[in-house]
Amino acid sequence: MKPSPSHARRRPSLARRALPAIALTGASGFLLSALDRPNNSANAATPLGDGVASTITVGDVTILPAAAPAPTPAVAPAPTVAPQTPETTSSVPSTPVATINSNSVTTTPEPVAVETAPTVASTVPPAPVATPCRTVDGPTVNTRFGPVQVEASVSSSGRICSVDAIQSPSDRRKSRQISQYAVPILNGQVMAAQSKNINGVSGATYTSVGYYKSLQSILDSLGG
Amino acid sequence: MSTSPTLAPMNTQLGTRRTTHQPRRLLPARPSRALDTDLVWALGIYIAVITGIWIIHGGLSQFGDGTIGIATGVTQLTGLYASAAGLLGLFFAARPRILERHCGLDRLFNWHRVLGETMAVLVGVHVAAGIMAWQVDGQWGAVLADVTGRVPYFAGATVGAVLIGVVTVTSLKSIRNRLAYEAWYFLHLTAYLGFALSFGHTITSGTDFSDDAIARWIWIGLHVTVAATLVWSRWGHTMVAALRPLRVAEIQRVSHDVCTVRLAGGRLQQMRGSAGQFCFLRPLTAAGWWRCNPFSLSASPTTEGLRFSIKDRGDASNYITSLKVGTKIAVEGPYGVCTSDVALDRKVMFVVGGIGIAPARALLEDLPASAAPVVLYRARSRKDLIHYDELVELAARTNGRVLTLVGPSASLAVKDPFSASSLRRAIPDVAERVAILCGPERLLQAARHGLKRAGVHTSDIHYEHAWW
Repeated sequence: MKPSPSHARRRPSLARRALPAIALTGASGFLLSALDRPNNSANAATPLGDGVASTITVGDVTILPAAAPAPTPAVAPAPTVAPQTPETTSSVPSTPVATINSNSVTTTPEPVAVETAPTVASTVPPAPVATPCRTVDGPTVNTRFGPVQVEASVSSSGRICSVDAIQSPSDRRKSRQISQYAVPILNGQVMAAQSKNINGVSGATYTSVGYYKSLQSILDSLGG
Repeated sequence: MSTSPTLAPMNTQLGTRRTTHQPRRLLPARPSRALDTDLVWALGIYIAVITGIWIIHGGLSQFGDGTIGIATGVTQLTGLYASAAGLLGLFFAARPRILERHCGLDRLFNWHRVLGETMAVLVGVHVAAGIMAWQVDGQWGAVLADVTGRVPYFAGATVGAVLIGVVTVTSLKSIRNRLAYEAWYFLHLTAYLGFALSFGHTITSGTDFSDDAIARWIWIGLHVTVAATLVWSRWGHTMVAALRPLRVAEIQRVSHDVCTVRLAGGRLQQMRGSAGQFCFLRPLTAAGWWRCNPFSLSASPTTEGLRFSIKDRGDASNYITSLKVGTKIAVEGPYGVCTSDVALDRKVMFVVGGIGIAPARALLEDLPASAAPVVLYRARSRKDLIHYDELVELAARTNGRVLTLVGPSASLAVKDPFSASSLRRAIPDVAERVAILCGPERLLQAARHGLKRAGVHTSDIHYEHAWW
C-alpha cells in the first residue's frame, strides 16, 4: 500500500480559506464608506429617494453644479442691491401661485422677490431699479410625470426679473417631493444664467426638460 | 437485510424488527407533493406579479419618451428581474424540501447557477441603462458621482453590484477550478451581503415601490419569504445536524485509495433516507467544522449506520477518512432523487465509473428481484474495482450480473465502450431498461450519448447532474 498522499500536503487552515472572502468584505466596507455621500444638505427635511444631486446641462451652457459652493463672483452682483431674502422651499408651490392668474400679463415693479433655494441664493443677479417687467406664462409641457408650466417676468431689455414654475408634477408623493426640491434650483439657475441655458437638476430630468421647454418658448416669444 | 430486498415487504416487517431491536432500514424520504404544473404556475405568477407591478406604474408607456424614457424603462425592468432572479436563486440554494424532493439538489443547484448568471447579466444591463437614464447631456462625471453614492442608498447598490460581479466571476468554471472549494464557498457567501446592500435602493428609487404601498409590501414580503426559507430550511437544518451529530463508528480501507466510513447515532431513529442518496458531512473538530462536503451512501441506510465509500481525492476526503472512531460528524441530508423509485417495476442497468460505484452499490440493495440489474463497471485498473464481491453477490440475488471494463481508455479493444453497438452487444435488452449512471462527467456524457443511440428514452436515463 502506497503512503497516503495526505501527509505530503499542507493541511489547509480556515484562515487561509476564508482570507479572500474576508478581504472582499473588508474592501466592500471600505468602498461603501468611501462612496456613501448622500447629498442631504438640500433635502434634509424631505429626503428624496430619487435624484438630489449634481446639476446636469439642459441648455448649451455648462454651469458648475448647484450643490457645489455657489459661484457668486461669476455673476458679480451690484453692491448697492442686497440679495433678496430667500424664501423657504416650502413656499414653492406645486399649485400655481395664487397672486397671478394664468395667461395674464401683468406689470410689476422691481425688485421682485425671487424664490430661490438656499444653496443658490447668492447667485441672484444685479437688479437695476424701476425697469418694468412683463410677466408671461409659458405653455404647459406635458412630461411623463405631469405637466410643467413656467411663468417668467422679463424686462424690456431682456433681463429676467423672476421665474417660477406654476405647474410641476404633483400627482405622486414622490413627484411632489422632487418638484419641491428641483423647481427652486431651476429658478436659481435661470436667474443666475439670465437665459434658458441652464443645467438641469439630476434626478429630476423630466421636470428639468419640461421646465426648459416652457421657458424657451417664453423667451422666444418675447425675443421675437 | 438478508430478507427480501424489495421495499414493500420491508414496511410490514418493521414492527417485528423494532421489538427485537434489530436494525431496520430508514424510511424513505417523503415524496414532494408538488407537481410540475404547480411549479410552472408558481413561477408564472411570480413573473406576472413583478412584471405587473412595473406595468401598473407606467413601465411600458415610457418607451415612447425617447432615449431617456427607454433607458429608464430598461433600468427598471432589468433591476426588477435581476432582483427576482436573485431571490429565486437564493430560494433554491435554501434547499426547500418541497423542491429538493421533487427535482433533486443537483437540479436545484444547476438552476441556482443559471439564475445567478442571469442576475449578473441583468445587473450589468441595469447599471449601464441606469447611467444612461440619469444623464442628460453627457456629464458623465456628475452622473457617476450621483449613482455611486451621492444618491441615498446608491453606494450600497454600487458595492452590491461589485460583490455580485465578483461572486459570479469566481463561479465561472475556469476560475472556480483554481480555487480551493472552501475559499470559493466563503467568497460565494458574500453574495448575501451584496444582495442585502442593494435592497435599499430598490425601495427608495424608481417609481414602482416608493409610491405604492401595496407593491412595496409585496416586494418586501418576497424578500422576507426567501430570508425565512434560508433561516429555516438552510441554516436550521445545519443547526439540527450540528446539535445532533452522528459519530464515526468504523473506518475500513477497502482499496489503496478508498475507505468506507460508517456513521452511527441516535438521530438515525428519526432520519429518513434511501439508497442512491448523498449527505453533506461536516466533521465537528477544530480543523473540520468549517468544511462540509457531499458523499454518497454506499449502502442502504439503516438505524445501525450510514455507510459512505470515500475516495482520497482531496483535503476534505483525506481528512474524513483519517478521523478517529467516535468523532462527531454533522450530517445534512440525505439529498437526491435518484433512488430505487426511478426503477418502477422495470429492468435496470447501471453504468458506473470509479467511485460512482458507491450509490450504485447501495441501490442494488434496494432493487426488487424483477429489476435483474446489469452493472457496467468502468475502472482504470483491477485495484480500482471496489466492493466487487459485494456487487456480484447483490446482483446475483436479483438475477443480475456485473460486467467490468478495466484499463486505461487507450488500451481498450473497442474504441468507444459506450457506443450503441457495444452496449447492445453487452446488454441485448438495453432499450427496455431504465439506466442509472454514476460516475465522472465524461463517462456520463459518453454513456448518455450511447444509450440514446441504443434506443433508451431520455426520461429513462437517470443521473446526478454535476453541479460543479
